[in-house]
Amino acid sequence: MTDACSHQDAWLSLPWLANGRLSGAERLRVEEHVRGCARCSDGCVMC
Amino acid sequence: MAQPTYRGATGVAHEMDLIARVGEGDRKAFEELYYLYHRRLARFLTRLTRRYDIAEEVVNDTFWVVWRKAKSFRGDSQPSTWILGIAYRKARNAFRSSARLAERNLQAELLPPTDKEPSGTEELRDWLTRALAELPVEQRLAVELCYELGHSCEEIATIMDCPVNTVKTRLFHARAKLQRLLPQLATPAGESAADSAGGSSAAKPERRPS
Repeated sequence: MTDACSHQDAWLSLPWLANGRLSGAERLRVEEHVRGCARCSDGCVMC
Repeated sequence: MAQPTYRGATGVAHEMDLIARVGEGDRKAFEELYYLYHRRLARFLTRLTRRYDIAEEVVNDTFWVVWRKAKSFRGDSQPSTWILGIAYRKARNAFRSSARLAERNLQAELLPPTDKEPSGTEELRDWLTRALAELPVEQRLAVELCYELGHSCEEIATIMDCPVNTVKTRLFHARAKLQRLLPQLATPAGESAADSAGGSSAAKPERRPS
């Protein structure tokens, strides 16, 4: 169970999701948000 | 056998050891550290300064500081973060002391257009190079440190001596600008970028963070 991650927090963290440098807990939070967010999913392609 | 990555635990421990030996005046250790970092620093600084002469000068200045300061390195950050931080500060000083670059207010210029028709990977690299050149130098540097050199947000904040949120904001603006620029650069002259992008919402920048 992880704390919810806001869209803005996730969006700002996408570059480090892309380069694999998010810490474990943060990565889980961001990934959970991205799975349910079309804009962040699109953003992963662009980031 | 594959070389360990510079962030691998073995690689980091080895570099820590090298720096400790450099601190004791070990020239062999300094030589090894030089070869480990010279290429990476030269590429990073050439992209940052866009001038080989300044990049080479900054590389030399950086290694001179590494030689002198190695004894005081306590391992509070990774060796790569420490060395790139030195290079960043030296590059800033080089910018400031260069009247011609100062006149440009640290803004990059577009590369001159080429006559040939690029294709495939080369074409994409050309677009990216042109788009990156449009970014303010601090944003371009953050992009390089994140995507090219693979540093974490915290490491980039240490290298650039700024808050973590500033790094995130710089990447945010850089990504938004690249999203706008890439469709334009990919569009042949006379054709609108909107047509090329199909009016996609992907070309719209994300809302500015508060």
